[in-house]
Amino acid sequence: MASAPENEKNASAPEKKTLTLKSMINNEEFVVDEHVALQSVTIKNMVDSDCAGDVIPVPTISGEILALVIEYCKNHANPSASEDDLKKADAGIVAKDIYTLIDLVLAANFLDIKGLLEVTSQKIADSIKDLPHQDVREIFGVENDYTPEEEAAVRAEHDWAFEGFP
Amino acid sequence: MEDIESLDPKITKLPSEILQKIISQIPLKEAVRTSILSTSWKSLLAQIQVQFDDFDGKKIMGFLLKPCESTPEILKLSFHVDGRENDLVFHAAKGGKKELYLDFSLNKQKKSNFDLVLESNYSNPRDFNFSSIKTLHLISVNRLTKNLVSTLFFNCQVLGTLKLEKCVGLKNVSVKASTFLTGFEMVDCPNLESITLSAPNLKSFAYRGVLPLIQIKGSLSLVDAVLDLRDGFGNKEFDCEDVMNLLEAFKEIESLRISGWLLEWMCAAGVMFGRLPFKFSKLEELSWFDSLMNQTKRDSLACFLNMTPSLEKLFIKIDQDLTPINCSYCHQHYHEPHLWMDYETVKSNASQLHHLKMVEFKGFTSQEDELVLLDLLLNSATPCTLKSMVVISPEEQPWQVSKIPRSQLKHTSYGKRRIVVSAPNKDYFFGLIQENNCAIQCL
Repeated sequence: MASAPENEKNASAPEKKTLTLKSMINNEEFVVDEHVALQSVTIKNMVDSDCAGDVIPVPTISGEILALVIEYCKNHANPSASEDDLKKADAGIVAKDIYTLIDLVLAANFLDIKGLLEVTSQKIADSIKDLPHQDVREIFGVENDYTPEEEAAVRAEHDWAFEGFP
Repeated sequence: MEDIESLDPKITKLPSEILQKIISQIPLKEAVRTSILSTSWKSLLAQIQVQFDDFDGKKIMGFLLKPCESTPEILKLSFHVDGRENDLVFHAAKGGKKELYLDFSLNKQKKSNFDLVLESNYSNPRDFNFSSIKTLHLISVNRLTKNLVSTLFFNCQVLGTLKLEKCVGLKNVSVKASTFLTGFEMVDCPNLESITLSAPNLKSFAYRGVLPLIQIKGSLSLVDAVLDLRDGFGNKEFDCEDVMNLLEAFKEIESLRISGWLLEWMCAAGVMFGRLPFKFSKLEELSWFDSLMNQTKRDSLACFLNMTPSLEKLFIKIDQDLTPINCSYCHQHYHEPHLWMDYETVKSNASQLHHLKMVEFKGFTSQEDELVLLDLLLNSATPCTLKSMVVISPEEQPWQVSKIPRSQLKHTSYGKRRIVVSAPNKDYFFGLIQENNCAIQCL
């Protein structure tokens, strides 16, 4: 059983260190236990190489997204969480609209948090797999640059995949 | 700073390694379809061309069984076999979810008949190229490629799903799978005569095409089955006993989709479903479909419902695009020839469906036989359990059906969105209320 660690004054336990993460988009700051933040390989590398100050600036990630990332890291830093609990918690974190998910996947990639990258990209995959192609193009800002002939050729090449597809 | 941000569109272009990661998490078929989005998306999939100078089974296996790297792979393989006419060219695709597609339809072979034997190497775990492939989808397997496919299957010990499609010339297929196989699907193999399937943990069985002899051995955990026999009888002659054995193998399932004509044919051969020694006691969902509704189809469905005491959801679909199957042809009677009974007898013989919660009838055209079926279902269902009965016109307009006693008819308002139709024996009326498609938006 896990006892409440914050009240524990065990002499052998090292003092809890915290880090402050700061979103450079809206200057929001988050104070996080170090072991929580170190799940990000990017932050770990910064801390290990001593180039992290008291406040770690996080470029290109908004406070809203950073909060989700920290929620994920906190969940996964809790040793008493069962696999089932984590699955449920992950599902809650990625239950967002597609644009939030895209920001989140970029954040997970930048901060190098493998598990978060995995669940977020899986959620994006699930959300787009049955969408009409024009919608997918809009979401990802893709321009259809095929000529009608080229498009027909791509379809013909993979006949089995396009069967019954408009 | 703010100005720059407002210029920035909401859409962020994702780097290609993230896009590749996303694509590799989409089922392979949908993943391959993304190649149509744009040339840059097409290039996210790995396009690989391989030419083998000889038909070296081991080399080919190693190549096919190797899991794909980070992104789905589209392969075009060609082999030089003896002489040009036997050269083999085919497409393959590998996906991130351990899926493998093999499409042999490029091979313009003479269509000759063949049998296919697929056996998984479950007895001798040391002697194989271990492959982690979970889904194997085989298209247009032919005489020339059947051995390749057998060897491949032999090496897929942990295969979960097997799908065979459009194998012209395939007559008999026999599959002996490991405990990992949970899904089997076979579609559009026009020459098929028999399927013999042994898969101890099979959960889902789906078939579409002509009626073959289907033998399923020792699959006690089947949950759902599809028997879509839209192409009618094949070349093989059948007797009812064969189909009965199949139904018995399905008796523990929870969900069944079945061609209406098969039930009609069985009834015509004298089968009375309610008197069989087994029942579909766990069946909760039944989908019945056919090209039309008539008296014999209706009565055979009613007869079948006598062996589904737990039924909760019934889907009926009239699909006019289907080819009508002529059922008059029957070689042997199961008992005595079935006497199609008058409606009152059918109605009084119908078992109660105590658990029936919903009925959905697609392709409903208010014909007499359809109305009689509604009457029969209303009669068999428990009124407070049956929550919804919806009929859907061929124009996709849904109508909620209710029962209006004759005495209340005067108090019922009707108009454009309400119709009242007299029930078959004229002692009550069906009230049809147009379902509002945009109910949620209007609220």
